[in-house]
Amino acid sequence: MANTVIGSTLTIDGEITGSDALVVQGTIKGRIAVTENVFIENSARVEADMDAEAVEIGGAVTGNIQARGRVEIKADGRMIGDVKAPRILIADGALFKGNIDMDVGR
Amino acid sequence: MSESTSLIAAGTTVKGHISGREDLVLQGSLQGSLRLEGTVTIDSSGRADATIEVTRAIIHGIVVGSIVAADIIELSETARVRGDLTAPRVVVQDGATFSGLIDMGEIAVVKAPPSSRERPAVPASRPAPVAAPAPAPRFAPSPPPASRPIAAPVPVPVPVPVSEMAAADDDDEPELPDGAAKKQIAIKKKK
Repeated sequence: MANTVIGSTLTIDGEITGSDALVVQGTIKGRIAVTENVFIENSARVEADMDAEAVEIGGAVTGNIQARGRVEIKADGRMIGDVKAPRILIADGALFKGNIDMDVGR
Repeated sequence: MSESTSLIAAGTTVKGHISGREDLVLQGSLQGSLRLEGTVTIDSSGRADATIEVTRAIIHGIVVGSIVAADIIELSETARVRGDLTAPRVVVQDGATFSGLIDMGEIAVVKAPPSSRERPAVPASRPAPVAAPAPAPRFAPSPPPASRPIAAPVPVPVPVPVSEMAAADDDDEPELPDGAAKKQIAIKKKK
């Protein structure tokens, strides 16, 4: 299945839903709800609440994340918001401000 | 040309406004609006219920909404489009389904002599202002029995006594029967 790719010059103001993996290089303001993985790349700016299978953050995110799998904030990632997921990785160099809740479903 | 291409895959729906300076391929669904300096390609699986403003639009799928392109709009044989198209170049291929208005901008045409007084040149494609002067009394203050058939080629469904029409002429817009006449004339002009 093809990934949805939001390129670096694109700005989406609204809601993205679906069953494809989502690669964000541009700007998204609003809400993301997908059943697959979300990749926030270096050039990306996301101001959105996210609901996904897993989230990988290399860019800037403001918003709350809920994932059924893993949330990874990479070294270049900057994140402000709450994370709720059973597995969370924060790399050395990453910036993060918010709550973490790993206590999912227990 | 744009250096990268974005893709909204078949299982994805975007609701809201998309803008940018690159190409976009829509295989999924978009509800809202799209403004792009670049080419939007709506694949056969794609559906846009949106106002689209782009450089080029290539449509294989479904669009409900107006499309404005700076360069070209192409409807392929699988396209199903309802809405108005505005672009200097518009291509509609055999098999495409389209309902709406096409405006390619100023078109130089050898001017016909201005013989008919009740058909002023149609500058815009909007029917409303054209239809307005169609009712007879404004243009032809000549005897009403003569002017009526000329002015309203489509029979007015509810016949109005001639005296009433003449009376309405003096002060303001005539009401119901003229409204009906306007609509019918507007449709006729579109053809």
